Amino acid sequence: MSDKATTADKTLFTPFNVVAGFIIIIGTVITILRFTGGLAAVTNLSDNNPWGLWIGFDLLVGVALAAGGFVTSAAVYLFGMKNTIQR
Amino acid sequence: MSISRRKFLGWIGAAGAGSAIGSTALAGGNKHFTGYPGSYAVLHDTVLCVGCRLCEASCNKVNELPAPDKPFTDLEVLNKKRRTTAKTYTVVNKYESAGKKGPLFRKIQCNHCLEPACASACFVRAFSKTAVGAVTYDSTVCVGCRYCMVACPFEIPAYEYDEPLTPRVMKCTMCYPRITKGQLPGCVEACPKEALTYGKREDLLKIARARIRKYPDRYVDHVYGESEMGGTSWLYLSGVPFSEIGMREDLGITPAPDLTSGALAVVPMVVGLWPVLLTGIYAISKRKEKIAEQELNEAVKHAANEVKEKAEAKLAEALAKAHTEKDAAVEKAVKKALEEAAKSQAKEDS
Repeated sequence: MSDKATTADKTLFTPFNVVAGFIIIIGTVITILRFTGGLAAVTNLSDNNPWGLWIGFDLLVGVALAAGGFVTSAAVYLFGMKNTIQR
Repeated sequence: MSISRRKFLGWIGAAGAGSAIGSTALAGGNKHFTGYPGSYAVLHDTVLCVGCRLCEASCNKVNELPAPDKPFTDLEVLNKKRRTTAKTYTVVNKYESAGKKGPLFRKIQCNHCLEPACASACFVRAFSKTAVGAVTYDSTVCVGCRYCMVACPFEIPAYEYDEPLTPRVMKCTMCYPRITKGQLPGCVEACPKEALTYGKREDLLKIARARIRKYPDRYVDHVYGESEMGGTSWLYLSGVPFSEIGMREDLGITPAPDLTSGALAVVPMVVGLWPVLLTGIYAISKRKEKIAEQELNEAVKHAANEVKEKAEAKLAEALAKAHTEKDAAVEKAVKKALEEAAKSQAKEDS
């Protein structure tokens, strides 16, 4: 690690920042399109396919995947199993 | 009031059994909904339909929908299979059948089910089956989830995907504003061939059966919509099997709400019971912790007391010992002094 007190000469364009900035810029453009042109402008949803990947995967599968979190927090906070992990 | 354990367990058992068999007990009854009495419907006789698209034009006009890309007089549109969209509540499609020469036509729009799937899927109750027969939609409560579109077995509701802030679900209203004023639905009024008939559903069923009886070689002996999905307020007659004019024959006669009401009826119970159950478990685990802490404190206190008492006892013992030793020494000294005194006394006497 650097022991210099200042970070002034460090570049902000780290690989993480570049990728995150790219995602944010694209997301901003899509958000503007969504709220000016409606869902048709940013999705391929149609009357025959009213639910796309968003509900089909994110909601129906994502919530099920989150069940692990529900169970863990219930075990710790509701059932008080705070010291069951043996180290 | 005191509750015995036996009584309490009895209540719990009754509640559990009641919630388990509640819905099946209802389904076992001999009553089922067959539509509001005196409600209205439309009979579509596809044998009489000539595919002129005047119903489409009239629908567009009375519902103040946006103008189509191609005019309604353009019959080339019929060559492509279309469905209802947010801009067209009704479409006429052309079908070919091997058994008939010449094209067949069928008008597509909301069938206004007696027990609508869209209404049972909607969790904000934006859809309602009105007593006159129309299934109406209230855009002010709609959240745009499009559950109705997924639920509809006829794939009728359409969505305003190009509307950024207030997209609505769009479908035929059976011209609800017009029929409540005593007017005909726009499409029925426009039909030049009387392929569409508006009237009380009971009467239309009689008319449909009369036509089948009168012209048995012209019609298939079935009134589509009489019992499909529990019955619809839009009835169809056809000269060819209904599947050949693009109508689903695999729907069965069970109304859509019957398929889901059992599971959905449990939701309020889950919402009511789970918070209570989980809060109870939380309280129990909290109480357990509290009691454990109390017991620990008490044990520590007890141990400390014991040590203290032991020390005190030891001290007292030591003190007592010291006391007796001192007494003995005094006694001894006194005895010695007395003996000496007695000795000197004896010396003086002699």
